[in-house]
Amino acid sequence: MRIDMGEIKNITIKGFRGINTPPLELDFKKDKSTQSMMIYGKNGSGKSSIVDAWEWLHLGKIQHLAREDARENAYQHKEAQNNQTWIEVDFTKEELGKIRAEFDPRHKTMPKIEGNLSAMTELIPAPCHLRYRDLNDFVYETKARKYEILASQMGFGNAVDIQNQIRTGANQLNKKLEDLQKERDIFKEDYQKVLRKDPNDKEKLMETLNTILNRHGIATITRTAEIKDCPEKFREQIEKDDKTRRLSQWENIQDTVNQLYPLKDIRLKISKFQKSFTKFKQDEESISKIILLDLYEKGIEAIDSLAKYDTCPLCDQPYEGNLVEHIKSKQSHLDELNQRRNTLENERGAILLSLSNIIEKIQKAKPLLEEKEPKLKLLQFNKNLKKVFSQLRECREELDKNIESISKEADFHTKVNTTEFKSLIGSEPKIKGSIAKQVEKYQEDESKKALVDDFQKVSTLVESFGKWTRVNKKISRLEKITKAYEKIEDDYIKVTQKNIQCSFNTLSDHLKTFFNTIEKDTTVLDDPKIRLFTERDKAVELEIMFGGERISPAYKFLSESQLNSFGLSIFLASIRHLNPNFKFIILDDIINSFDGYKRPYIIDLLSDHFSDYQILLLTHDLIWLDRLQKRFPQWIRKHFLRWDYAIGPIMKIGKNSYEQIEEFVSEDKATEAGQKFGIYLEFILQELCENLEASVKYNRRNEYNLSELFQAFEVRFRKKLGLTHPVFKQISGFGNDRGFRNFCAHWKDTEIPYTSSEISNIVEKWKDVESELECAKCHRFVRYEKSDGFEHISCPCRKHNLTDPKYYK
Amino acid sequence: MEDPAQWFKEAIDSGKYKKDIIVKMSSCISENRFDITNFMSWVSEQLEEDLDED
Repeated sequence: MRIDMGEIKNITIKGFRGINTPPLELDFKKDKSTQSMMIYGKNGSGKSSIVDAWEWLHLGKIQHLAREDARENAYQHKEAQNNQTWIEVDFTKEELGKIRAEFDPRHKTMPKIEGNLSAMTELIPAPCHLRYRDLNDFVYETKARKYEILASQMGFGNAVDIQNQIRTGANQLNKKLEDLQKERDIFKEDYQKVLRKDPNDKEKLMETLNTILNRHGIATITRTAEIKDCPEKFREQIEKDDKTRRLSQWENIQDTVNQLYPLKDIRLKISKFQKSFTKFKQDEESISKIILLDLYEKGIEAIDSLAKYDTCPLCDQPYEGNLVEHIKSKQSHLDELNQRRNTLENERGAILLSLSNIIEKIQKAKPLLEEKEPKLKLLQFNKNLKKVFSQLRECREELDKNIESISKEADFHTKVNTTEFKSLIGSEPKIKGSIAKQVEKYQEDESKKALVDDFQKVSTLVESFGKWTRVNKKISRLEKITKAYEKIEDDYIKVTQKNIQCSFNTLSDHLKTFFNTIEKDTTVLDDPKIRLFTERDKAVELEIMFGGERISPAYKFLSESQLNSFGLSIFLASIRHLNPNFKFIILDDIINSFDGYKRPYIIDLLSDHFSDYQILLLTHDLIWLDRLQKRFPQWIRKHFLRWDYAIGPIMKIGKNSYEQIEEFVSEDKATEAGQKFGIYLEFILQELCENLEASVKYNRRNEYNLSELFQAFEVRFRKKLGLTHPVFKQISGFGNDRGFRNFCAHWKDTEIPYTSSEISNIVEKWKDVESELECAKCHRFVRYEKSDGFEHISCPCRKHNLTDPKYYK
Repeated sequence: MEDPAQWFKEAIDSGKYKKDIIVKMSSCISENRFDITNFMSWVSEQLEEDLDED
């Protein structure tokens, strides 16, 4: 049974990328429990080093660095104390406990691991970290690459591979069936050259055979089992008469010689190959190193990742000068040699094929030509044939090894360039003519000619019938096997597809929910889907309904921000679906991929669907951070003030806007406090105006000052809740406050000073108003909503309802 | 996702399929592949077996 991760108590990192010493400690413990964490820091303050360290621990490498050709030597901080580079994660669950990866300068690609890392990685089939830069990578990957990512993440890769191999098996069975049917057709054709009937018609065959047997006074047959004996019966008849026997033999010899020729003259080809081979073998010392080509490649990679090198990593010898250049020049010579070797290998393959073809022809002809009497007339021809056969076999034996294994003294040309081979090639017309004369001589007697002709007819009929029958049996067996196989194949594929689709549907349901949450304002988009192709070209494509039409691939019509919504939804859906026992997510500056109006929806997504997850959120966006703090007040807040080369991120406890204003006030920095509050209040009033659907005076710059926003908010509030509503009275009182009115007019003008106590006074009054507008449970502001004919001003969870009658008592 | 080897094991027990074929297919399934070469050699043997007997 799988364990679950529990929670993370601490992540500590030292000497890694932008983090040096003292170790950066992210402590997730708060009030005797563990919490999520948000870290604010400007770009370059060291936030991303945390994600890199996590990825190194989880996957053993950092993909985005690898893509940019930065290898493991780029992981260590340049000033890492005592070469110490490590990350340690401490879990609440004892089964995982502390897990640590430490950089090993001697084996840079293999960190030293302490703790149960394999148990942790088993719980994280889908990577749980996401960077801004990674977000749209998946969306823009090729459809085949998307498939690879999802197949391995969802664990259906093996089942689909086996499904496709079983399909290949079915294709091979059908191909085999087709080949056998073609073979059967050839035998049928041979059969029908003599008898124009189906070979299946055994009665007709017996009738024909008996007619022929009868013609020559040979005993007829009565059973199908006797069919195969008919040629032998004829042979006995022929053997009785010397001239007939000779005619039969010469006709056989004629057939054999006609099948032997033409013979391919391969002497020139072999002579050319011999020259290239001898030249190539002269460089024997280098040839033996061709197998080291891969090692040279790896050697160059290894040297790249070494901080210092004065010893060759391949031969371990000291080397002065540029080692990479030295190895590259050796590699280049071997590359050239390897190309020559490959050309020779191709030529060797072609010659082997030709040789085998000639040897096979001679092998068939040789025994047939070694008949007793005609041998005298074919004596020299047979001698040549025998000698050439053995010469070519020797040559083939020598060539039937790879180039490296063939002796440099090997001589193929002499074996082929013989008088016997030359004579065999040149004697075709002479030998054919001589045989034709013999056949003509014995054909003079019509009755003998008829007997031999009928013998050939019977032989052809019986032989082709026998072959046809055997193949027919094979076909019948193969058809049964194929039918049974295809039934199994169909059922296996159905089950596999159903399982995959089921996994996919679960993922797709989450995907749809998450996408619709982020894109709730884009009504033209709906029903995002991941479409799966599990046929031979396995692929995954993203699809979406756009204005009622299904668009595939989705990137045809979606904006970059919408595609990023797709990417984030897939990432989160995969985590939800695939990491059920590892509820931890790292999100690094992902908010930058989205339009401003969508950013609150991402907070909704985390709040509504990932409240059971521990999240480490990194951002350089202050406004978003404020919203996050409002919604997740229990989260731990950290602030990376700056980055120091020797130390890394300088961290302090993160403060929200009010806390920062308070700090400015306590240091009597009234201008800074005022500006901070002004930015904050504008942001809050924009959200309130949007929530209440307030009409704000239009301006072409699309910029609104505090007065305009506050006025719109106040008017709308009064209209919907009335003058007597106690919260309205409070809002109105704040609006009429002289200090606030002055602040509205001058807060952007640093030349007109105000005091820290004036700012503090306004802030405290606004805090009171704000607390009346925000729900203590869901931490969201009230909004205007009309449903069932009633108007409501309440928070989304309805716990805080300003239209409640209690306000009017 | 169900283990392919497990599916074949259950398929043998189900009695739904021609026994020699499903048993052979099952024996050709390993963790992540179906050994087609092995299966096809078995098929060839089946086709040649006792072919000359009437």
